[in-house]
Amino acid sequence: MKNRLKVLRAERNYTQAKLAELLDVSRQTINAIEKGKFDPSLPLAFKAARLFNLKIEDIFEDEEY
Amino acid sequence: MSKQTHLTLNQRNKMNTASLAKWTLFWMLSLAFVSFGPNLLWEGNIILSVIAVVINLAVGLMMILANKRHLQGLDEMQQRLQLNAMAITLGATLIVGLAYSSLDNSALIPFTADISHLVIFMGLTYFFTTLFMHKQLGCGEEGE
Repeated sequence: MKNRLKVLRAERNYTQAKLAELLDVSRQTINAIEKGKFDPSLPLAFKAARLFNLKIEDIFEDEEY
Repeated sequence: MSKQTHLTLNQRNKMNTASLAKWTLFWMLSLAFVSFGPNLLWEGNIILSVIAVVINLAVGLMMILANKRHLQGLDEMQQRLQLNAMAITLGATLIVGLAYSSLDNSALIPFTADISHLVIFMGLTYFFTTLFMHKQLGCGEEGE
């Protein structure tokens, strides 16, 4: 699954550690999501969407479509 | 975990890891009493041996609960990583353990298949699987 987490984070000048803190996950998890090595759960995706004030599909994109 | 919801992930992990380390240490000490007590401390007194085993089981239960709390406190990727490592360890231990026992039963190894060998195998499998998964998910990479 592709995502725009890195871009959105950069737009707000967040470090991975800061974003991790805001989403209550580890920095390693943010890194893995940004690199497409780990797909977040639906609750975590909703949390990220709420944080960036966007819809889930504006952040995450299913690569099959 | 409800009591810990006001804590950050790092605070939660620190607290749960310390608790797990404490109960693991207690369990190891109680196991040492069970193993060495009958010969070195109370010279085969059955009542004291039974008490030591009961304490060992009770402390073991507390260690399991501390481990459960520790796992529940992790974030979803860390939980997935632990689940995979534990699944591989469980499967490998079952298969290797039974094969090892069969080797002993068939007298194909010159020594007795001891349970401690299996515990060491479990520990090493879990350690290396966790290490591999960390590497696979890029957990060692520098932050941005």
